[in-house]
Amino acid sequence: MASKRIQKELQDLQRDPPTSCSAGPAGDDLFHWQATIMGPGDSPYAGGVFFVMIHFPPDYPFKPPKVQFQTKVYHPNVNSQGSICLDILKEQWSPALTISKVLLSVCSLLTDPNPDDPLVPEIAHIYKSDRQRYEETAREWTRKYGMG
Amino acid sequence: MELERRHSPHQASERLPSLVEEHSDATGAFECNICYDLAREPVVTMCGHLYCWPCIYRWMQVQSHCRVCPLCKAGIDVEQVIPIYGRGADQTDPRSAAEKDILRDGPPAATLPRRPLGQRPAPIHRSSSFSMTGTVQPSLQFIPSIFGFNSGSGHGHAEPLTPEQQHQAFLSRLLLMLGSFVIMCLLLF
Repeated sequence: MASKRIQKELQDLQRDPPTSCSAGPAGDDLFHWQATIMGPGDSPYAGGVFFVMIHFPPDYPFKPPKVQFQTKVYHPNVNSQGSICLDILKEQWSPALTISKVLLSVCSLLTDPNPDDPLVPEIAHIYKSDRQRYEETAREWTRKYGMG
Repeated sequence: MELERRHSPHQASERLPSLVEEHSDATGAFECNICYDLAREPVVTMCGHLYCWPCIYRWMQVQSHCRVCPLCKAGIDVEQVIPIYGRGADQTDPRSAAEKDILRDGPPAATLPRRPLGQRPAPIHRSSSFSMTGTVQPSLQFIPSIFGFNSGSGHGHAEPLTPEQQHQAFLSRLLLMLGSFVIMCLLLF
């Protein structure tokens, strides 16, 4: 069932690709995808291209996919391993969600960080207390890692 | 001549894609919201979302704390889904074919219960009608119903009427009686 559903999602993605992100199998393994997210224009990540690794569990879509940044991102909800703190990837997951919707949520997380539920408290603190400094560092990281 | 010849196949090719589209739209409306396939053993939740019975049952088992609809997060429960019986529905036991691949990596096959059965509410009869509901002595039943006597046998499953409906029924009967009196008067005098 999982592979059939993943194939359907891939077809939908190819038929109607979302703006600002793309995704597809990384190799022959249908359960292992790679996606790219363009940094949203109204964020300090603008102009950057971020690689994301997606791993589907065997019982997908009953369990959420594992989504991880491969590109370093300076963000209160993304840690140095690339793990993303996003409710729909954990307890708020629903089998009606798709990779396309997940990537869209990651995009909006880049624009609007959630400092009240941080994965990296230091970045969350800077985001809350010194927005200018946060934006500068995020822009610098985007230039350094997202514009290779 | 050249134009005409070119015109007709063009029309045909224009018609074809629209037919294909219509077809995919029609089947798309009946796809399970979990497996994205045409719903097998379809059930609909009280919030109106369609799923395969094995898919939604498995989702209910996965959710431990509270069971919600994957699409709208409305509360759902095993006993609160309505099965859909279509024309082309396969008659096979739900515990044989469907489970094998859907529940392969889920709970053991024997744990998938049968799809809940559809409910059969009693038909609702309209109270102020001339329809002869009973087949026995229709002419006799007809008369008391005009005069407001409810014999009961023909209306056994009718829902209780609201005061407003009762008032309307009374008025319509009164008018009917008046009308019949006028006709009788006209005939007799």
